[in-house]
Amino acid sequence: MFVLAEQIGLPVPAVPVLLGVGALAGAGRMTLAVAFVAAVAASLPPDLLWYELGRRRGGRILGLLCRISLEPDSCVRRTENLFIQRGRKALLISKFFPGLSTVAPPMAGMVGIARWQFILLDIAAAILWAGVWMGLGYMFSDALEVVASRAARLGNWLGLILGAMLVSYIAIKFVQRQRFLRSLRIARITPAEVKSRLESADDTLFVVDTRSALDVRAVPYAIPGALWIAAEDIDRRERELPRDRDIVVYCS
Amino acid sequence: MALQLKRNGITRVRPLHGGLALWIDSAYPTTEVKPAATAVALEEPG
Repeated sequence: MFVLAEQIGLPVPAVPVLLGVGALAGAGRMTLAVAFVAAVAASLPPDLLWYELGRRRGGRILGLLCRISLEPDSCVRRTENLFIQRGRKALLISKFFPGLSTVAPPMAGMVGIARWQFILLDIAAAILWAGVWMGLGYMFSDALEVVASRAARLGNWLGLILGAMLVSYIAIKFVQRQRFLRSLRIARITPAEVKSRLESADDTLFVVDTRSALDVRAVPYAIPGALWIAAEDIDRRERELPRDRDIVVYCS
Repeated sequence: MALQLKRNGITRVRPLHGGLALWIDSAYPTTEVKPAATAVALEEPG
């Protein structure tokens, strides 16, 4: 259930559960093989659903998923960079990165990885991911039992402290994001204004396409006259941007 | 991205509302990007 919930995109931590299951199996209180097969099987249906949505809806579904995450601005970029750097192998390791495990399947659909390839890679990724965490739990079951019993002795206090830390973290991220979005909303420009200014040959406007190579390949169109500088190259190519003009940046 | 440019001292940054998706949905003009240029960028190191 935890694995299924996490792959759907809900903020549920499946890793502690996998560790716990491994530890229980190590202590002889659970059958490891059954739990392992269940974890692997639970991750495939939601991944396949996200893959199909990514394939049919493209970047929009990725944007929607990333909006749920705590770091939406870097979420899409991180996923795309992972695919650029590692190609199909990115799917194998994405489950180990918080947030990316949900975002990687629609990205695989977006970049056109064949369905059978995706299914094979996803099963391999689930075996690797569940195997590593359950295996660690299994190997260190004695130590985990000690930790669990100490945590039980601390009782409600431990839960309260961990809960307060989590709430504080989410609140700080939320406030930072709201501040940033407010500043962007003020400066935002509408497509109608850009079109009008481009048609009137307004030379105070400079349009920059900041999409990654993967995004450009998925949607091979651009605003006329736009300069393409992928976001990851912006520091290197910053000199190409004029300081005395309005710079319109756009992504997918 | 906009934040990164502002941090680097480029202050006149205007993010496009709705991104390229809204531009295309509005049936505004576009130019086609050649796949070859994308392939080069994909292989470009660093």
